[in-house]
Amino acid sequence: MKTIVVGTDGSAGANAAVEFAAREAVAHKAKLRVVASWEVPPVVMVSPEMAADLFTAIQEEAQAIAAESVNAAKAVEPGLVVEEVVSEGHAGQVLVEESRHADLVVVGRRGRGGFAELLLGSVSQHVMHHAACPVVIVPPVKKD
Amino acid sequence: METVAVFINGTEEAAASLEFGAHEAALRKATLRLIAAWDVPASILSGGVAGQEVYDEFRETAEALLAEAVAKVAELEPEVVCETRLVRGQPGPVFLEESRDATLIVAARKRQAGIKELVLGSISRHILNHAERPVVVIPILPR
Repeated sequence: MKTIVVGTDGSAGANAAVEFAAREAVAHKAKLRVVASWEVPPVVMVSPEMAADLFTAIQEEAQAIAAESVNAAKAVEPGLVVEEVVSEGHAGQVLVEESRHADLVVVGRRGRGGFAELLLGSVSQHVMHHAACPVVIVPPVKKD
Repeated sequence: METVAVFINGTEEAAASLEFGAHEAALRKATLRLIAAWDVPASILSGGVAGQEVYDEFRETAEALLAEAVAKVAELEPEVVCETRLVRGQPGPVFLEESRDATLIVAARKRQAGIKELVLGSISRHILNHAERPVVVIPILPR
């Protein structure tokens, strides 16, 4: 069975990617891996107890985002085989790692990061340049 | 009707994109749109007025590449319906304009001398920066 991977961070761009990936998985009769990632912010100065709470909160948020995207994918096609993956690490690196065992990786053009004027987000750019398989960059849905 | 768009110009990227696009069109029961651009290089025009035969030659070269691509698709995925668009102009802008309504646009990146990473060619980069439709980027891995 083919594997299609989609990255999600709960942004509008990611939601467009999830919908595209779900349709693609139907066409390819593939299973869909919905991948959310989380990482500890580089500079956090808190007590060890607070840090533990913070890490848990960050991880739980990623889990919630993944679950929401899984539901969105299943709404496109109820019979779809969907795997939920929550990994620790930089989103771009996590998706490149996933690409080694995938037939296709789907990402939104831009995620939650700032700089809306940039054409390609840093994650989509990283994945496109390093993935081991074809990568689909999905633009945000245009409202007419 | 779904459409998968591929740019045809005789390069390795075009060959890989065509193969991927044909397969994708077959799965989606989509039309495969093969797009080519032609023009007379400025270097020739600057040498004086180019005769009609010069224009014909450049157009016919692109036409032949499109015909070759259609034949390749018939071989790879016989049930896929192709349509061709041959437009005078720069490759990037022609590809972008002719793929505006596509369901999926195919681009590729390949190895270039002296660079470890696979890189996007100028046409793929133009598409990726400007397209408002999903773009798939295929890595052409060295054999």
